[in-house]
Amino acid sequence: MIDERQVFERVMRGFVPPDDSLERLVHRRDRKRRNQRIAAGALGLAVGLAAILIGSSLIRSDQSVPVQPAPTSELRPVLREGEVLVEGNGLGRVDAIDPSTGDQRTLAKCKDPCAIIYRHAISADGRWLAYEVWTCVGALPCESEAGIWATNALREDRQLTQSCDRPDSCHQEVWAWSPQGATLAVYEGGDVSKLFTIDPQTGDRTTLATPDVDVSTIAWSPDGASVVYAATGLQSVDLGSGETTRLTDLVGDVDSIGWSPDGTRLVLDDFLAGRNRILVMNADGSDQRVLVDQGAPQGPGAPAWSPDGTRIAYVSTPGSVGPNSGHFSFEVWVIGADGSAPTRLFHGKCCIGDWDGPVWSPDGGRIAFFDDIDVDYGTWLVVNADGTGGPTEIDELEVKRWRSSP
Amino acid sequence: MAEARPTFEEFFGTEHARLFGALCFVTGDRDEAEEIMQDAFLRLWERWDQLRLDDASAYLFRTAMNVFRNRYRRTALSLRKTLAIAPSNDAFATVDDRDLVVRTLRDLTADQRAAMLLTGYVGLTSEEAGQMLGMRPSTVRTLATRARAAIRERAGETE
Repeated sequence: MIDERQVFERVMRGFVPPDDSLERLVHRRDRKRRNQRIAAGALGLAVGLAAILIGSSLIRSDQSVPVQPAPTSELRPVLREGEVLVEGNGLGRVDAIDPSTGDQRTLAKCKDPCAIIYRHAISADGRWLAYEVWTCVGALPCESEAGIWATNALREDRQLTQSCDRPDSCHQEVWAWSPQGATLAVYEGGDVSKLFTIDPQTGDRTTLATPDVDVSTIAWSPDGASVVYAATGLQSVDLGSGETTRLTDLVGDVDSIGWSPDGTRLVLDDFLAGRNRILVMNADGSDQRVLVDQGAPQGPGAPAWSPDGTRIAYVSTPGSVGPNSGHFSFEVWVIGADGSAPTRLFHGKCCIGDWDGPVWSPDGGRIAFFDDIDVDYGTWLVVNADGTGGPTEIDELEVKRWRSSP
Repeated sequence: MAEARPTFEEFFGTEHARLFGALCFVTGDRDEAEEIMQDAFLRLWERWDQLRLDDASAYLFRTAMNVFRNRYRRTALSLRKTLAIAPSNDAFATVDDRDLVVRTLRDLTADQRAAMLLTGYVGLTSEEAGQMLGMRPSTVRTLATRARAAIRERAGETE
């Protein structure tokens, strides 16, 4: 008979942490703090001015990443009528499925069997699928395949960026498709950090800025004329003139930025001085207002504009619950874009696990979100946006349709 | 007189070996365990002043499990196991490679080891472990049961 406790004790005794664990942690923290100081301090202004000058002077085209020859054929949409994107078994594949027939086919696949596709998205014109390959997962080495790829209906895969700096290290990449056509805005971290756009057809790049600190998120304006990014404060690049404008310094670490549907306002969620916040401001950085300000270890986030631009849905993990108080409850809220009428739409009975959303229905009447704790693992729920009624289950494919609707 | 709040460094000193051991057990890889431990402690450190002291250990463990789960959620770990590629820095090799039980533990999936650790060693219920791992309680029970059965079977083969 095996004494399980003895097994654990025996095994655990063999796991001795490295002597310099604390030193490494201190070094890591100092590095992060240094970046935050740059972002918050007087250097921020100097860096911003430099970024404006550099950004406007560096607008240029180059071909620094080789891509395969462009296809000569006229491109059809990647997805056939009725199809939606699905992950292929959660491993290195992206598939398309037709829910009405159940037919499934693979659109993109990693070459290395150990690599994964971390994120994928279809361009606004539907003709390109971009996908980000990670090979720096777990103990796996970084491979040249790591980076952003694009493919089309002809399965002409081409690598747009490489994120592998060294055998054991991949740099950060942030990317977003333009709201029209198929231009990808990309931030590449690493040794030479750069914000640029790239045409997947030709591989042509246009440098927008060379931020001194990592860019955490980027967002295209609805008309595709500018790109807002968060690095040292919040900055906007006009793609026509190449000019960079500093919108505000009064933000912390920004997790996400969302444009209002009419392109006049921005919503973002940040972490500043121990507070999680949701802010709105005009697209030029004026009229900045804090809608939600919460000091819990995990506060509000993932704000999403309603289709008519009058309300904002967000998630929140306001407090400890359960016998182990490191657990946090999960909630979904909606609030007026002017800060009025905050309404809690969903309160999880238990603890945050995995979540996604919120996602508005195209008519603005409902809000979907993913909750893996209060219901069976992997279930999407939907609530009425006016707070009436309780949550009901919704098919994930329906949510995907909402997400891809204009 | 109220007890003085320990510094983060003191907290690190008392907690890191235990957390490192647990993460080695779950991941089977020393480098991976160290990476997750650093991530978890850094997140805790950033919120150190806001945390209630009696929350800190639970918050640390929860954060570490979140980091572990997020890193492994859509990863090729299971595929790596299927292909029987050895971890780069096998944690179990440092324990006792000749130990039959240890060898069996190495052959389990990370999810199985995590379920076994949380229910059998940390002392959580299946519900609590499920919350921590983002799984249904029944899944936790199934994983832990299969892990124990594998160990019993392997031990029985040699008796």
